Amino acid sequence: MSIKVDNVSFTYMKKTPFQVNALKNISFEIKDGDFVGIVGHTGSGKSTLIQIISGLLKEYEGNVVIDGIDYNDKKADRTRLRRLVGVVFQYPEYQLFEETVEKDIAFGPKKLGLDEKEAEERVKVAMDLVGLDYDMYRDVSPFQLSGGQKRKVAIAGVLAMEPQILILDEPIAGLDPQGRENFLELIKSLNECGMTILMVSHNMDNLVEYAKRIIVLKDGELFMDGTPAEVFADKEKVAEASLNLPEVASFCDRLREKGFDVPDSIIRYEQLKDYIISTVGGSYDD
Amino acid sequence: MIVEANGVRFAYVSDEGKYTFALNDVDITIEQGEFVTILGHNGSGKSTFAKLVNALNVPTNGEILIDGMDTRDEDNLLDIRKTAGMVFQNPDNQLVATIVEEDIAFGPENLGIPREEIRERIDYALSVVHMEKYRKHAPHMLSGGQKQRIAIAGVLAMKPKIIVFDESTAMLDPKGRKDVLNIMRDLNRNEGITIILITHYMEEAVYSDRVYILDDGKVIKQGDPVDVFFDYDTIEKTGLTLPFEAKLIRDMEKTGVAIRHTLDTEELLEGICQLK
Repeated sequence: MSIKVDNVSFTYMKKTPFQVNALKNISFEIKDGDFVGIVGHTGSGKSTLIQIISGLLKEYEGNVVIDGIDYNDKKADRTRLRRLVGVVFQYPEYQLFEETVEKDIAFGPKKLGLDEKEAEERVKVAMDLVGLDYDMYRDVSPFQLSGGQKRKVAIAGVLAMEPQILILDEPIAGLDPQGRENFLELIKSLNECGMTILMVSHNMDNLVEYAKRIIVLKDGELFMDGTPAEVFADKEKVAEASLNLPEVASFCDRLREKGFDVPDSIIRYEQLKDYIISTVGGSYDD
Repeated sequence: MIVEANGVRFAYVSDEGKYTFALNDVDITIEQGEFVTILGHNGSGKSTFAKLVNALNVPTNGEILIDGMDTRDEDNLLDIRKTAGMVFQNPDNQLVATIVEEDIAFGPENLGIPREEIRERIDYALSVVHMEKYRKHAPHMLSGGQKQRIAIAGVLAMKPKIIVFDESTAMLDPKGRKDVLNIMRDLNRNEGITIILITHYMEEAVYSDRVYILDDGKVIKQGDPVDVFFDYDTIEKTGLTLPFEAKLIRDMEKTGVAIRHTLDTEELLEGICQLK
């Protein structure tokens, strides 16, 4: 499902002394099945951008077209758009409200007008996707679960709507290390099944491991756009956007200072590991 | 010993009357001036322990002494709360006033401290967290990292000997996290405050004097960061991850390369250079 953002601008508190131009003439396209990381310093416009793409902020200038449907088109089928685009906000578990896990996940599908049987089927599939056993957890109160499990229930509620595009805002903040890894693997597998992913994150280490493309915003403008290797190769621009280098990239720099001839293409941990091991003469047993 | 937990158990009782031990026979001792990190996955008992330190929880069995005071004795409550301050995950839950200086004054005012001294404490607290310029600002207009620094200043104004940071960096952006971490280290080195850091970020633990790992309510490992993080099996078993340096060293060792164990990037680089 493609996303086309065409010359979009947005101003908060227009015509007041607090006016902020949060987005300025942003244009880009995201193709079907892509995994895009959206990064930028706090206040760069990331959250505004994803709220516009999810159809939550309306008073913007320019056009946003999802799968050929323009949000601004008066005849646009908004219900269809809402189904196409799923959004997982920061700390989504705060939005849980039902008595049982099953009821919470089924809330959206039922609002779509699905009957009990269909809704139950959606819940089963969604719980299976996030790795929660249906029989074990269906009747449990979501509030009795651990933080990581609550978040799984929250995302299952979004997945039960069968979105084609999934937008996530800092999805792993507050999870423990195992929870973080499981969650990122889940998003990766959804992407491999064809879901288009847009993920806002401050964690560059995760993005270089998972995203196929990175869009950098700075002061409301599109500042950089490319593969993780392309973006983080331009150290000066990355610093200008007040972004941290991923751990691997900054370690490569330090190695270069020490006289190692590290190729620019090395951006993920596995690549760095293989490079070092081959350079210092280690050998894999298997 | 500023913190002395002996055989501490803490039980939660469910609606059906079932007991679950969040902490089970835990011994933790911390010296005045130490920087101690407590790691463990969600539900390991870390936060339960944090709440025992300033008597928000009291042990079901065993005892915990804070600067020699037993937390089970209600007469000690006020002194324990003065001794051990806490900074929580979400600063919005900890800020009470509409102006920064009033927020910081809230604690000392409740202790009945004279006006002049409160003013001095505000000056001191704001300077330690580098927020002097924001004295008259509204806390809710600040960034997350700035809010957390104001929350820390509020705790500092109570002149505590211990500050417990319960995942205080989890909601912050990278800059905010770095600022708060630097402040923790300053508080420890320059002000001599004992720091207990509860975190999910392994790289934050690297700076501490000692690390405890909790798993299922029990202490399963403790020692200096190098000891702890190079015990790969324990780290893996408890669902934690290795800091970058330890992970690289482990992966090099797997291929038969011998290299000195360190969590310091500079030392790791030197080690690699020597192998070249």
